[in-house]
Amino acid sequence: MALATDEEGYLLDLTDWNPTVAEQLADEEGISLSEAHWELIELIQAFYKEFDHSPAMRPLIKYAKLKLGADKGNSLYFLSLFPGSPAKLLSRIAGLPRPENCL
Amino acid sequence: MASLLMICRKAPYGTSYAREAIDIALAASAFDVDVAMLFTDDGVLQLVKGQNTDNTGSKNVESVLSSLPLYDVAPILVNEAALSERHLTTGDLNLPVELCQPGELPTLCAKYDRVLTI
Amino acid sequence: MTDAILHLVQQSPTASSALRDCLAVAGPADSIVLMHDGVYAAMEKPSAHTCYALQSDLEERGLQGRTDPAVTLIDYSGLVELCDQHRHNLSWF
Repeated sequence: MALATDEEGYLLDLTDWNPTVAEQLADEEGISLSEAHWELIELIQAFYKEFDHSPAMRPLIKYAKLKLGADKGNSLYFLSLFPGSPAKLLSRIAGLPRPENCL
Repeated sequence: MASLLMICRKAPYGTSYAREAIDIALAASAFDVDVAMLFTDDGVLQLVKGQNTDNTGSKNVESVLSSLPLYDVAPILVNEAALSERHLTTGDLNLPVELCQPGELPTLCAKYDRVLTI
Repeated sequence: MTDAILHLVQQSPTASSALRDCLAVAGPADSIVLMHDGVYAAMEKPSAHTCYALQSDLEERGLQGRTDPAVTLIDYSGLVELCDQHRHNLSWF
């Protein structure tokens, strides 16, 4: 299925998202989704639901620390699962808009 | 680290000013600026609890502001006089805030490298 | 350079609360610049603060010769100079 995305690969219609779409978007990034990946996908979706925007890296990490504990609430953990730019990759795979305030 | 005091004076939905001020504050925080916010005049209305944008399609200002502590924006100051003029108390607000008085503005501004009013 | 604030008031005092809100928080050593529609407040000096008005904005609105003599008229280079002398300038719109 061809997904309707913007030039940076973010879904144009956020209601297009479902777990299969997530697998497809992750695949395009060379990531095969494990349970650990899904935990962070659900985390960023919860952030979006609670705060009505896609987070930058620092607030996302702080939120993870709050919800999942210090083991997972650190940038190394995020980088190990979503290398490069975790907040952007996660937003994209989770079917959220591109984070506006992300470096 | 550079510091910024963002002074928010506009109501949340009638214009895009409130959104723009919040965007600047969040972006500055992402760039490691030490950001504080002061809500005064109609700006205190941005913090009112219970905003529901389900039927308007706007971004929910209350929800976005709730994330300020995660962005390390602190302190979050509210002009007490502006609040009481609008028949509000801190109990009507969605975040823990520090109250300040109108006469404190000059000393407050002097503590920051940059001050913006929106 | 002074820690006193330069307040730039940009809205008409009858249409907007900008001037009133500014005066409610301005310190006694602060200065006020009336510009854009803010110059309508120059007809009568609005407070005890040092007060300036941007001449080109006054003239545009036909207010030349009708302003309070206690309000000092300045041009854009005067405004730049004032901004330079104050550590912070705040816009009220």
